Amino acid sequence: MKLCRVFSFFLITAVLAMVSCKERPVGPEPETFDKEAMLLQIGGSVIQPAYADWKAKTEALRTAYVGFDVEKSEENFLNLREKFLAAYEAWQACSVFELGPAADQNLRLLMNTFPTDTAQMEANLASGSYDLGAAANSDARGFPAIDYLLFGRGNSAETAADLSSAANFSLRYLDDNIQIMFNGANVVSEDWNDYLTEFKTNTASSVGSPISVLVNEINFEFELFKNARIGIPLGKKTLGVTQVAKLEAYYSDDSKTMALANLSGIKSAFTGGTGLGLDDYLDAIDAQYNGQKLSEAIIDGFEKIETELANVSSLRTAIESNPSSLEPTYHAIEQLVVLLKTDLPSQLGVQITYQDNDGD
Amino acid sequence: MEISRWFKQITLAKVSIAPLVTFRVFFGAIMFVSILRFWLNGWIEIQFIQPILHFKYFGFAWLPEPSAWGYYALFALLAFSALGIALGAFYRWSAVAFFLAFTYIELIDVSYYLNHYYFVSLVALIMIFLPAHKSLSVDVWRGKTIKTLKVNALSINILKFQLALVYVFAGIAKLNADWLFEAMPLAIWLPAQDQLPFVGSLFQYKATAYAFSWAGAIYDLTIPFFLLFGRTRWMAYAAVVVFHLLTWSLFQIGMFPFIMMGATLIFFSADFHSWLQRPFVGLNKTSTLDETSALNGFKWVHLPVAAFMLFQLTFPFRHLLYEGNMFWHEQGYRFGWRVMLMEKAGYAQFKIEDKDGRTMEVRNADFLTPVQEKMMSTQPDLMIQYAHFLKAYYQSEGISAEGVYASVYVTMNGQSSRLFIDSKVNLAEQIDGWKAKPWILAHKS
Repeated sequence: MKLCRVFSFFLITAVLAMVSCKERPVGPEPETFDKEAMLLQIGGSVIQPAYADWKAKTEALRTAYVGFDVEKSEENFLNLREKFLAAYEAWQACSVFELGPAADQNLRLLMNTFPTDTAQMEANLASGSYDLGAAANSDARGFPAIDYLLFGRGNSAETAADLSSAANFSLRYLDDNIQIMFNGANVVSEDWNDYLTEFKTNTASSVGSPISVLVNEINFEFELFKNARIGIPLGKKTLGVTQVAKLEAYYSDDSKTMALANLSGIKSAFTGGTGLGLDDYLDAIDAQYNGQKLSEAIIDGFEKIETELANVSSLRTAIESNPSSLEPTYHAIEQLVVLLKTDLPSQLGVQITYQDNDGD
Repeated sequence: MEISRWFKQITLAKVSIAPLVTFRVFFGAIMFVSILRFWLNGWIEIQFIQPILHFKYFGFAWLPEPSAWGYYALFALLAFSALGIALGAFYRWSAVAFFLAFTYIELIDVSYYLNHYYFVSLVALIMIFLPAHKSLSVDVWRGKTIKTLKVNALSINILKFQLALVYVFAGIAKLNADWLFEAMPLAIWLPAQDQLPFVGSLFQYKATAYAFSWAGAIYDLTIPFFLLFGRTRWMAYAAVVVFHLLTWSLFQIGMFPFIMMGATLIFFSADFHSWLQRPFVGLNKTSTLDETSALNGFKWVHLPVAAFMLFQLTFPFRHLLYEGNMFWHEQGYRFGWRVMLMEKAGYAQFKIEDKDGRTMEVRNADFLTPVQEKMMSTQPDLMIQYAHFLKAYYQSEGISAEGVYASVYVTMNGQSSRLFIDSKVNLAEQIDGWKAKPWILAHKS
């Protein structure tokens, strides 16, 4: 009976400790953080507006295309280029959100696989028979393909003339690519109307939950930013030998605008724009980084990159003439990637895989 | 002579075979389910066939890797031998096959190390030598072995020892400052689960994490003893069920909770197990009974059994031979029953340097699966292996990869991420071994 009593004591102590904490929390009363409100903010006030903007700009691009098709003037051609760059920039704010409806469509792969395979594109343009949905054409379609088509095949007069000629398939290739974007933007915007409820109500941190996927996609996109947008063109994967043609939006020389828009998209995914975001979630659980709020350290990290990048006039010119001028930018990126890959997921307790796990 | 009497009592005394039979059936059955689950989850493909490289266990780099079909054949063998164990069919062969195949697969890739895989390997090894098929088995029914009602007490006590060891060591591992005084890592893990029904609303309170931490430590340290004594057994078993169901609902811990809930039934009395088996008693009606066979040739086993137990009692403590915080440097961490003890995340940027001093960065995802990358990013011995792999890979690509360096940042139990290893050390020149790795930076807290 004695043993029995000892055991009961342990059990009761444990249970009491668990129950009593409801009345007497150790330390200050925790702020109950409303994860559903955070997800609603991110989904409804960041992601949906980003898609809506991209969709509107894609429609404007299509209108510009139709305008050019009707009257192949230089003015209409320049308008077409302008509307394309606006749509490309709008896409950058969406790129990080490869979850739910976007993941269903493989949107990132569909829209923005760069660098574009110019040989494949030329072959497609020459033959006029191609399936843009095929895997072989994954790097011959979407924004990078149009970037090449509108900016990479001669000056504006030559390109306009090429697109005006009935003797080749350039105009059709442009049309087909705009159609892919138009469809993608419409389907994903539409699907998000239904998906929002599912997105905001699942507040778990387990694998596949919106919070976990969001954190993982922030990391994935930021890694693309570090490697594909800056590192690889800068020669970080090729012993310092620069690969300038691998820049995103290389032909339009608009890489910096795209990179800044992309970074801003990742930042919004973290901050939730002007409302509740992962930064507030980190504050609610009192996440610290070397005596500072972790949320602030991460936002500082984003701002440092923005500041460094703003000092560069054009990524293409910088890489071609003075690659070392990008080192401060790259260094700032390296600093932020550590916080996003270690402190952020660890403090939030999000899982990365489905596999069994008995510790870390 | 009290001790010697007691020793005889727990080893040589004739006791009912019933608990052993339940254990055999349960163990075989849950292993069969586990193998099936692994297979149906597609993990054979994801964990074994797809990866470009496998991280070897120290001392087992020589083990050949099976082909894709080899893996499927091995898993099929595992499934059949698990069934063989459960049914007591071709028992010795089944037990030997299961132990060898399971351990072989486990030894393929250290980044998948789980304490419960190690536990399964050990139990499978023990099972080979137990007369667990001598009642209620296909082997008795086929007349291949003679039915036995009594076995040596050691046959059952060795399993109790193994289970008690897991709990007590898991409990000892919890006796550290982070666990007891910071409630880490539960203070991170529990609030992340506050959407769970009933208990979830308690998880935002730090006190809950403390209560769970202390209750968990006390549970692990004491539960084997409460299970041993008849008077506390039922209540202790209720605690076992509650504890493991809770860990199962909170963590991605796989089959482990169910393995432990089933295995701890071994602590129950022979009467309980006989009662449990009553519906099946008719299956092995036989007039011949062997009262002695299981007891014959028993003397010689004392030495290996003692060695086995001594190894198990000491090996988890080898971390004491290394300076610094074991949770940080992880030297001597594995095979120590350290389960769900820390929240750790790392980021490892590897750099290749050629003979002209030019550098390039490595994208880990090009070579590693997400799990492998996660494990490698916090475990120094895996960093060495990866560095050797990278050197060989880039040299085969025509790059004179003279140096492989890594800038690694790790966060542990919610502390700020910090540099983990000396980023000026050429990892390709390091050889893994028992010796302490001086290039792991000290953990200052």
